[in-house]
Amino acid sequence: MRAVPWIVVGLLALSSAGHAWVLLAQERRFAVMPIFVPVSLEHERALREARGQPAGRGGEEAVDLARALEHARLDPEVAAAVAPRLDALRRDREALLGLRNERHRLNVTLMDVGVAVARELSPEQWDAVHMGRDAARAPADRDLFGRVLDRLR
Amino acid sequence: MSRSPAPWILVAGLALVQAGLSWAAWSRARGSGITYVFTPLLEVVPGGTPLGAIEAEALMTDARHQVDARDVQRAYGRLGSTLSLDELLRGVETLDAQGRLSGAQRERIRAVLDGAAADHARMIEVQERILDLEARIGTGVASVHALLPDEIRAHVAGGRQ
Repeated sequence: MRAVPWIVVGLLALSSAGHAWVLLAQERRFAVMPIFVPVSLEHERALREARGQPAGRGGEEAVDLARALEHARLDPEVAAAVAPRLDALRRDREALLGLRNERHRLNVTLMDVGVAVARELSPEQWDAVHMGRDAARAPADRDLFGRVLDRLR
Repeated sequence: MSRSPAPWILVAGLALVQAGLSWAAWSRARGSGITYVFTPLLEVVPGGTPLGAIEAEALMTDARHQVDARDVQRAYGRLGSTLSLDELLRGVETLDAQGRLSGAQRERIRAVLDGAAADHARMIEVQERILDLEARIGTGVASVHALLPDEIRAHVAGGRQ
């Protein structure tokens, strides 16, 4: 029975050492890392350029129109002509919002793809990728400047 | 009347529990740790932006206090420290060209990208349909405006401001 206090003391000492170990192991890691932008942004920009279509308001103008017409007094003839168009705008706006939701889901999925690819890289490789992001554009820019300068000379 | 356990048994039991907790906390700390992420809050637009002047103005005023995920994404799109998937893949391609990717890494990355090909194609399709609908809504709104009497049209235009 005399050994019991010593066993308790030993266990408590072990526990205390464990807690100290935990405190030392909880290092704080500081990291600077880029955030993945939605994939759709670049596609949207490229498509708008190709179509010559300026940035829109996401169909918000149809909602503004409906709001403005909510209390407007229209002649029956005008109202009859406006109603089917407004109904078509409602359907288009709903479809647009549905597609924007799907785009959001796909953006998140593709961001996860970016994370999955980045996870395969070593820290050194990852540093080379994101620290060299702008440097990677330099050759393309150099070619463009070269072509323009050749034309100008 | 039941006999209570001897105090030393309770003390030893509690000490063992404490040791177990220490072990669990240590394992967890080694596994995840705490990571702080800093991003520079620079008003830099990487590679241009599809946002028009009106949208950008709305983002900086109307949407300033919104925390919808899409608003946050747009805001991130305006930060300097962002990376697109295209840029990441170009970087990986450069690493590969320099022979800095192992065979196993190439295989795993290829598997990830193969799995995402359908989603990527769908993204382009969805984006095209969004632009189609935007254009159609613009045309539809203009056609309704054309039907309205002047005073109501002026009211509609006023309501947008």
